[in-house]
Amino acid sequence: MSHGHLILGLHAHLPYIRHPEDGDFLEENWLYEAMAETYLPLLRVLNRLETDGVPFRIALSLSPTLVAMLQDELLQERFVGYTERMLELGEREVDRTSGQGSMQTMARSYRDLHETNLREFLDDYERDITRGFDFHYKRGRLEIMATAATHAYLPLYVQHPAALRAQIRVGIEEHTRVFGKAPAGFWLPECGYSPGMEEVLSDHGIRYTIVATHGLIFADNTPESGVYKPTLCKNGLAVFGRDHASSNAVWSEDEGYPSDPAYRDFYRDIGHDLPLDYLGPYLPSGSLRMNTGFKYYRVTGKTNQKLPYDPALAAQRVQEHADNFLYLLSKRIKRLSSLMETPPTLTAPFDAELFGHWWYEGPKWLEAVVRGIAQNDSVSLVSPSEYLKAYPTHQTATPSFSSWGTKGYSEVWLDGSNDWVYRHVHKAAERMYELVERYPDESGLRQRALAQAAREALLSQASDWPFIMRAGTAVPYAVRRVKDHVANVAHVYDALSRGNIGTEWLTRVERQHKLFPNLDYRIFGWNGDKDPFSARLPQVKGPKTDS
Amino acid sequence: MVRRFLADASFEALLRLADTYSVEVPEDITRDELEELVQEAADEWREEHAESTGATGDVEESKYDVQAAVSGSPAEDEVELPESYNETRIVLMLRDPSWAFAYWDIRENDQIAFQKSDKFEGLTIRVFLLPEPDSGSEDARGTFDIPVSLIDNRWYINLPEQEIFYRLALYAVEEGAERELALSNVIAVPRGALADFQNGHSSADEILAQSGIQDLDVPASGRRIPQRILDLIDEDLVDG
Repeated sequence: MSHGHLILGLHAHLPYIRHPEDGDFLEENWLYEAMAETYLPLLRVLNRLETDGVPFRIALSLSPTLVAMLQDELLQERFVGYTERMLELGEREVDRTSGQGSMQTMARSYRDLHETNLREFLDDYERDITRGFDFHYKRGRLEIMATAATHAYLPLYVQHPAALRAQIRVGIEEHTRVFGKAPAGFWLPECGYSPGMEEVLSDHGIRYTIVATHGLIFADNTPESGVYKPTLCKNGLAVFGRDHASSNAVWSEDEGYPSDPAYRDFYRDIGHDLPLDYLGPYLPSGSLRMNTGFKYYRVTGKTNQKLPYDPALAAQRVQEHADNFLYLLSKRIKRLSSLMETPPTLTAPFDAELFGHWWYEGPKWLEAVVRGIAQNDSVSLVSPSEYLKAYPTHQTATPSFSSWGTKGYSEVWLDGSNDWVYRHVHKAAERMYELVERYPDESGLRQRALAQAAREALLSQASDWPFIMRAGTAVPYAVRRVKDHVANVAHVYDALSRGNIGTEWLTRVERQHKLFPNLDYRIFGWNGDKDPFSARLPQVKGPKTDS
Repeated sequence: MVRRFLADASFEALLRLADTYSVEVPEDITRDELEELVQEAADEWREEHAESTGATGDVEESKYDVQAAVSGSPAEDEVELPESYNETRIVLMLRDPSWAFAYWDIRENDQIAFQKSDKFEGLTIRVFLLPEPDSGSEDARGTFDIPVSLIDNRWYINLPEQEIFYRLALYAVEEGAERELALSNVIAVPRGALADFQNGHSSADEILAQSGIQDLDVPASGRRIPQRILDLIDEDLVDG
């Protein structure tokens, strides 16, 4: 019997959005929606698997900005308010859809979702759902990976090794602070890799990372096992390559499972369909139409004439798609096993928010896949660390510059819509280098100001801002965030030069951008004796196994 | 791509560029015709890149699902960042194996002086193709120029060759003479394709064929997939 492994990866991230100055801030809803529709439902999946004794291994990254928000008391309180409003809307929707068959079934399921969310959030997790993930991490079922501090797209910072190092180091330190142990793996935001990063990762104790498919197969030393075994960089960092086919089964916009006509349509939402006098209490400012999460139609097809959602049909399709995924997986493993000396390993990382928020049925599909694998003799779930422990020797190769973004490189984060950003965020980083040099050992108010400047510099580098500018979804907000963070660094830079730090200003900004409590501003210091990103090209070699 | 580079390129170099852009080259083509063909293909590719603002993925966008119209127009107190940091510098960033991005800045006093000077004719960015990261300009394998104006401060540069290094120099042109204002950092431009190899391991070829190499949506990645691997790609297995 041929046998292989699947590494299931989930990457959970949202940018840091916290506006204590505004009790009804629109963009904060991104967090509440993801908590309600993805993170809490995913925890329920993990809990059910645990309760039923189903063995599973999932690699999960939780970005430091997301963790900071999940542990923030203000946002936790606001999530309670959000959930209570949604629960009330759910009750009204159950009444409104009375006699409408599947519509009312859906209304009930939304009401129940928010009711369950509220109960678990308050009682089970005591408002901090990172505890739920930590539970499974400590049990060894989840392997939580670290990721960059503010989810900077790192290949665009290779000219700034100190800034790049700060992103990686703060991400690892935050992971260790929150979860109480050092991470084994590091998720590169957007799978963005450039040669040299392996040195920074290894310097900080990281043992593995994941790159895009072409990042591995375009490596300097073409891997003879393709993406079906990790390779080792010269310094020993293991690199897993994303398996294109298994990812594509889910990700593909046209052919992926979520596009099935039976699944719930994401775009059709009562926030845009029902009268404002009905929806007002549940919309920002009482009149700004936006998604509420109450959606009653299925994808149907490429038409505006959507058919009502049929839960039974969707449930049937979930099982069919899970079975199909496993069938294809087993078939590929069988074929690959005949070509390889060790069991093939397929790495399939996904954005966590795919499951539930975007693909309503996604958590159920994931659960069905995990349960199916538990019954399957030809494939098993494995964590990257377990795999590396079992198979420590691999071919040596340095991956190629790559990302999982459109067209495989940096175009998403560097094009005409967002390229203006880099002049300013690079300057903010340079000012931090200068500040560390001028003030190497400060305390008191100066230390506070310098630490806040470091937070602001890191926040300015988030990949979300250029992404949003290109996607065109909330551009004014993204533009404003970049400008605010860069201006805040400049404010500290100028104030320290004048010797006049405004306590009131500093306190206000500290309260607004309240993350990374132990941040040492000297993280931006770099002695310049080792630049892993000095321009270099790999020596191209043919496949050769070191082991 | 600037014509000066193509005009200086050898017939073989033009053939390599034509291959990069997947241009079919007639056997009896002349050098001038080939240069024209490559120029057209490069222009088309550039336009395609410039227009390509398609979404990375609906999933990631859906996380930021706020209607643009309601997501808050710029507030009155929105800060404005400086257009210039009053320094003279040029920075080069790699976007993909075929394109780089440069931004630059010129000290305010120099900008004013250029504007007032009768001798000032314009600015030029010179692109150096370097064999090594620490190669001097005199060792460049090739150069080409991009004329820019005083109001420009960023540019996308089509990279004619891969697996080499690039550096930029910003020049002011005054009465026909060039004055160097700034030198950029050096970037390494990767191959962006499968490494050339011949190992005789048919299993390695077949595994690579199963890696989805032909479906990656990575520009120009297919141009160097060996035919022996293409022959092995099993549509049934890859696509399921």
